[in-house]
Amino acid sequence: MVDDEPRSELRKKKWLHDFLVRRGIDIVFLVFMGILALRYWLYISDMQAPMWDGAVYLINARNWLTGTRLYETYRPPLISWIIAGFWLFTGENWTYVKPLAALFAIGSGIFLYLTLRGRKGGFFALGVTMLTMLNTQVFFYSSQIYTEGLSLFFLVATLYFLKSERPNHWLLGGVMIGLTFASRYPIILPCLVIFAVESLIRKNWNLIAWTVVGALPVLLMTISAVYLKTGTFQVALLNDTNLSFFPSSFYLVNSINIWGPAFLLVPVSFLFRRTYNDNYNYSFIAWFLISLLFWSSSPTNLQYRFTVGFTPAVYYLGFLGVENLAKLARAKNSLNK
Amino acid sequence: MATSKAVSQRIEISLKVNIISKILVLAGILIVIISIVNLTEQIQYIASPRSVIHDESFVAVINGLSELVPEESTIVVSTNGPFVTYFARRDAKVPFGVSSRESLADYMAKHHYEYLLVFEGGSQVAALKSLFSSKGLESLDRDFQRIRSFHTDFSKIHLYKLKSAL
Repeated sequence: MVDDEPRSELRKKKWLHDFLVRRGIDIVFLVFMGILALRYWLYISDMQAPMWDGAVYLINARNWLTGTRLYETYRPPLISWIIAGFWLFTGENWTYVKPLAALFAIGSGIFLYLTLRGRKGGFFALGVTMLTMLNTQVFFYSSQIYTEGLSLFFLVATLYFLKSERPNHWLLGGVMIGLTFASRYPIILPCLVIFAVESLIRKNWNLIAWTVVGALPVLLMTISAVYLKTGTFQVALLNDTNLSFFPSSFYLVNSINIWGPAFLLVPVSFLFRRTYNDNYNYSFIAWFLISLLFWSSSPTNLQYRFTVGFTPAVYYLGFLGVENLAKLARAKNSLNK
Repeated sequence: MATSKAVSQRIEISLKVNIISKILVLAGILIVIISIVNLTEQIQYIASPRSVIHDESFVAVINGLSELVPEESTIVVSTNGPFVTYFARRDAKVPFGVSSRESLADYMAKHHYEYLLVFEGGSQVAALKSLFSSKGLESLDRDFQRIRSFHTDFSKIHLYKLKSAL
């Protein structure tokens, strides 16, 4: 009886030790997300007015709710629908919806971590998630009533569900593609890139079929709702729909400003054969390259905030560079021994 | 003898590669840490401290316009149309295509718009930038009557009524 107490103490300590070893990074992740949520809350509660586009989404929400003409018809509808839905219960007040995009951004961090943790390990997933969530563009624009936070959430959720092996997840992946489109029209491009790459890699007709079945109704519903409301369906201002054959170097020239010095690690990842040997990386490579090319091809509208839609891919490739270097060092080390 | 020299050379090269790889790994981790610290600091620079989102009285001032401008009226604005439409609940129009004070008055008279709201120093119409500057505003008095001026934390806003509509 006397011996039992220290033994149970020991068992408890061992359990705690094992738990910390197994779940240590998850705990760090949870603490990080808690601090991030607090940071959002502090920043948002200090906000005295919405930004320009935020005011437009608020007007559109009021117009959807009151059945009046939309202020700007080319704006994606989902954010205004969510605001309108919220106001149905609370009454119209813009301050109630101030944290809306931030909640979605925090959700995207959770999805990103969960997507990467299984395959790349906790440390890798934590690094990519931290860099993404602390990116200036991601943080700032998802603290506003803007569509960046929302679309990032649905885009990362698309990645999560399409990387899964479960058919019901592929259906949800399709739904997420549709919702990404409804939240910010051009961000459907990285979704389609991820979908195309995953389909090509896995050559699984079920994945393709379930994803299409999930995406089509949401896409049709979005387009028809906007068309019925406005009599037209326009995805952008006419000036912004021109694409140039000669992409601008804007995002590459400003890459350090946008993504920080971590961007320097992206080319490093491309130097290793290991990057191409693992087909899990293909979605991220295609997501980064095609997005960079697409947004660089719009010469009249180049903005830092447009990079939010491919920032997770940038940091994934950056971390892949670090991982490749670490593996190289380890291999050399074992060779010496 | 030659073989042992080659082996020792190979070991030397391998050691150098190992050191370089370790330095690169450390540099990589350092870059990640710098990124986190650096980007966190940058958040405060993306929106200027004098941006509308930090202006404590801006929303109250625009809200107050609804008491000065009748419900069905359209307000011609120098800029910031969405804020006026949302917070003042009045239609706001930017006078695109107008190039001078005279043509602004004509444009408003033609469309039966009576109210003009000027954000001092701000104009979405390039040709009207000088008219809506603090100096240019003096000339507006010829065609418009100033109803009220407001000072928010970071801006001056003037509400005018077209004289021909008085």
